[in-house]
Amino acid sequence: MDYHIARNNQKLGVFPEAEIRTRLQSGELLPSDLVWCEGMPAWKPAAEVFQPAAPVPPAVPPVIAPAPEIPQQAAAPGGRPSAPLPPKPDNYLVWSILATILCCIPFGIVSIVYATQVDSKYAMGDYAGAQASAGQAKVWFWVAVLLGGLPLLGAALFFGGSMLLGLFGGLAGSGFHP
Amino acid sequence: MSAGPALVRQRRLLFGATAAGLGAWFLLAGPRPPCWLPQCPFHAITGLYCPGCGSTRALHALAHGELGAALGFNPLLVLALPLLAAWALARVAKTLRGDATPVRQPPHAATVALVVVVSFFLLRNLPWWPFVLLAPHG
Repeated sequence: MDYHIARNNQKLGVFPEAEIRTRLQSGELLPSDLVWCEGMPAWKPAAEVFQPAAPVPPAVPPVIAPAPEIPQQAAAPGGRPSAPLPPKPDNYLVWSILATILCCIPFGIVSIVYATQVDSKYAMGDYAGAQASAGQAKVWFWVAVLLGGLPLLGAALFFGGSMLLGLFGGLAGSGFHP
Repeated sequence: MSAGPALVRQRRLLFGATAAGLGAWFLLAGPRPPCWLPQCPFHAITGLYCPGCGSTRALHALAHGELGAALGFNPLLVLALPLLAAWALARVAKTLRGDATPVRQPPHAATVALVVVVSFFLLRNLPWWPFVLLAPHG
């Protein structure tokens, strides 16, 4: 079941139920955020729909209705919502630069491209899109770290291992018997 | 990022331990970069230099106070380090104030970074002077 989420007259996007629960727990979504899904007569606070103990499945009539209006809390004249966007999501720029410099391309560069998208989408007011790009930037950062970091880790283990072997080998060769 | 305090503490420990381990490794490993430093897999496969090629040797040189050698191995890394340090300081200052929001970046920081990294990538693979100075050498 996918739910629409809105805060301050702004749609934040559509999320599956499980993801909403984790985001509610992590604090990314607030209990006061409004949720709506196909079949609900009106938007409801997330706290009402997603109670931690007993989730309330909404009644689903077989009627596909258009989403009702988000309840107007403070609409500016002219129909444009006056509420500001949520704060800009982290664009992972610093991490993607680190991954590019310290690991191998092309994955760090992909991450930087997504970082630029976070900024441009947010500037256009596309909060959900900016969040999606931030997610992609994070994914490609980890791809770069894992692919680029594994050889380094392997070398460290090999180096450390051969030092230990050399130590023991030297001891054995010298006739040292513990 | 919102994460539980326990997870954040674990992450900090992990980062700290990794940094300390790498630092010790670089310092103990001797004054000149020996052959055991792993080769960049991208360079090994394609023969081209990626923006990160030479960064391990550059860090190794910096750990021994050889700024000139570090610049020769990877100038982008050496130039980026002060910026990264400034970011880290701002991050620490924000965290101490209990502020978890991302550090503010100059406008178009991501675009500038993309242009710089991609140009560096292209230029350091050109076979002519002065671009060869951008390829790892020491």
